Amino acid sequence: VATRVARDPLALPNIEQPSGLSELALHTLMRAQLRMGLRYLFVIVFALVAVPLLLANTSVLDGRSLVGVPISWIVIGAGFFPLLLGVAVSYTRSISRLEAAYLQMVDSA
Amino acid sequence: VIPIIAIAIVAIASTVLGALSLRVARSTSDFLVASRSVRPALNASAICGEYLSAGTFLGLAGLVMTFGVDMLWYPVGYTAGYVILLLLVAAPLRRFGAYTIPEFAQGRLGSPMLRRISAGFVLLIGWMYLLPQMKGAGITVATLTGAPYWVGVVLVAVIVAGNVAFGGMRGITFVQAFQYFVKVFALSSAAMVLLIVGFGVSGVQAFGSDGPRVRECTRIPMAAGKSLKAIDKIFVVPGFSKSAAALLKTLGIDDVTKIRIAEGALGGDLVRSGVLVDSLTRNPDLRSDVHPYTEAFPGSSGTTKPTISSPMITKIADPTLPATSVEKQSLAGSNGCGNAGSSMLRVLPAGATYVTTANDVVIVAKGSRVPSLVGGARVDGQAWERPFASKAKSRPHPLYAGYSLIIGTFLGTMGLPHILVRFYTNPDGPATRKTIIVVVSLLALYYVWPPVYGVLGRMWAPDLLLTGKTDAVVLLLPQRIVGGLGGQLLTGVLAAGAFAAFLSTASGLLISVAGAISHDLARTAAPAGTSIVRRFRQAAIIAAIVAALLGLRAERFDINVLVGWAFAIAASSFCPLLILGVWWRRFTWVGATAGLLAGGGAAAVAIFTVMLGPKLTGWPAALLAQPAAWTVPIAFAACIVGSLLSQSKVPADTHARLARMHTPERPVRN
Repeated sequence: VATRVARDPLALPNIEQPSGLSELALHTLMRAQLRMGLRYLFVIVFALVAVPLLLANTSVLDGRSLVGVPISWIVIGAGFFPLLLGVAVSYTRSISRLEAAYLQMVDSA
Repeated sequence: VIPIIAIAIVAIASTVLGALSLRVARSTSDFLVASRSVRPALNASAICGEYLSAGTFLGLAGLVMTFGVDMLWYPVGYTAGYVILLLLVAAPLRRFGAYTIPEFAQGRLGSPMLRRISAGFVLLIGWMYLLPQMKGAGITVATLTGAPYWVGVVLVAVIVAGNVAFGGMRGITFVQAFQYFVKVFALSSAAMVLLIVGFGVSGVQAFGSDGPRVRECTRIPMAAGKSLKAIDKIFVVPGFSKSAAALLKTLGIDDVTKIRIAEGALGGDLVRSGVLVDSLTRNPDLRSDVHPYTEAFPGSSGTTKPTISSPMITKIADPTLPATSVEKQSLAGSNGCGNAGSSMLRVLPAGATYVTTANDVVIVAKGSRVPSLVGGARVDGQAWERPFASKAKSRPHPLYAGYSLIIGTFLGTMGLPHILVRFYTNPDGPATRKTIIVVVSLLALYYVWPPVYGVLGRMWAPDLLLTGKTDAVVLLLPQRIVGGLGGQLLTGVLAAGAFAAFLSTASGLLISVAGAISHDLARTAAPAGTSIVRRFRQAAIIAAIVAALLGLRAERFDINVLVGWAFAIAASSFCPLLILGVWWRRFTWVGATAGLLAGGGAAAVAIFTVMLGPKLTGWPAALLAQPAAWTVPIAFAACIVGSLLSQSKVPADTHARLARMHTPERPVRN
């Protein structure tokens, strides 16, 4: 027989830290996290805006191909994946460092 | 036979794997999110297994084949969606601890009504996304076995409903991970063989061409009522009238479309009914196929004896075409099709248009271009090859469409109900981030392959552009390129991968939809004594039935276009809810509700107009077919304005909830 698990989404059963987290401290933490996220987001958004514009408006790539496949196909079909992976890895490293530093600061305070 | 066995193996393996973990699925939390104890690598495989659907396994190749380079933005957006999820949403949402988007909405903003509206959008997105899975299953079974379309739809609905209702998500975590590897193996291994053989034979001819040309004389059976335009000279063998077909049946010939006209076979007379006779008698390979005809029709030159009397012949010859269109013409000089003089063979010179009747067969001579469908969406030549170069009336403003597609897929990923729930199976925020990195890698490994099939399809199966069955190109290419037993084996591998795609995505979607029904919408309506799990099972079965019924009507839409629409609705509804919910302290349920209804509502209306309304051209067509570029801003604006106007509704516990989302976990020390 299935057991019912009590789970009220409005209840916050296991908050660990916030008792000591002031409005200001949270604000600072969130700003730092958000700023880091947006910085990396900018890289992706820039690429996603600029590449279509370039491809649509220049003829540099016309007629250029690699082993018979046009460069523009390779740029869109394969070129974005390394960029996305690089952003993901790099962001994860930075944010981990940031959060570790935050925890250290809380501990020393 | 091999492809059918392959499908059966995948279906059975999925069911068995699901059943094996059945006994573990006990509590709600087990059922919905696998008890939050799944490791990043396994979880990432499961996420990809669930994410990679019929849309990219079958549909993307078909779109690339039809529209060309602009369609490559789909996989870019599908992958980039995970990166923005990582940057803005994933870890905080995991720390928050809600299981589903509706739960997050209520937990963060404190409104049960908002939760119900969100659950409504889960249903909308879920069913919208289930449609293409059902269509994929339908056409796969139809392509491989010749069974009617509905067989595959019903098959997948039954398997998935059973798996979900009796396994829950812990059951399918392993199944989903397994299915990722089935898919990526199938798509990549078959692609490599097809690439080597396909390009080895002909080189990359798809690019730098002025339109898709057939490799050999090709006969294309047509549905009635299609308006086509010849690009090069083509020929039409008019279909049989009903009386003629009935007469043929008395001669023991049931299926008139079975007659083959192969290269070199089309010499001699074409009998008045539109059937080739004389040359067939000269071609021993084809003789067994058409022997009854050669006996049946007198008046073909010499070698056979007529065995039925002339009045009957007159009946057969009773043409359904206007007499003026009947030309006596010769195929002489047309590559590959031999020489045929006929009173019924119809010649369409370049530029001519023609509306098909039932059972018409279009003949395209070797090296000629496949005719285009009037009002069809196919893109040829430079417009196919060059980014944003389409000038087709049915696909106006390609740059806008491209950006809107990117916005919808980029922002829609985070709003897919079946994906987000998977992230709760990570133990904590950092594990969630690691999972996403693995996901992005696994997606990249997979997404480079579907376009390969699209390009090969352009060279080896251009007739699909005329019949519109481009969603089946992945499954048809092995027979076209390799053929024989090797082709059968490859088709089997691809069919297994395709089925893995439908089963995994449909399972994930069904869990979310059933969860929304049983958990968010029907909470108070449960009869006393009904356990949560039992209600979930009932909801799963109901949801599967609805999905199957909708799927039966989805045959005429491109699979991956349907998927893109589900993303667009998700981007216009849940994306603002999640981003603002995670980061904005002044967000209120009033703003969130306004955003969902305005943005998600607008996107849904746009898409339903395209699906069910009249054909549009120009800007209205572009804006409605790819709505995300304007509906996402509307959604954000409505969220923000609504919140600012209702600041008294900011939840009192906003601080605590934001603190919970953003406070980093302590690293686990052993």
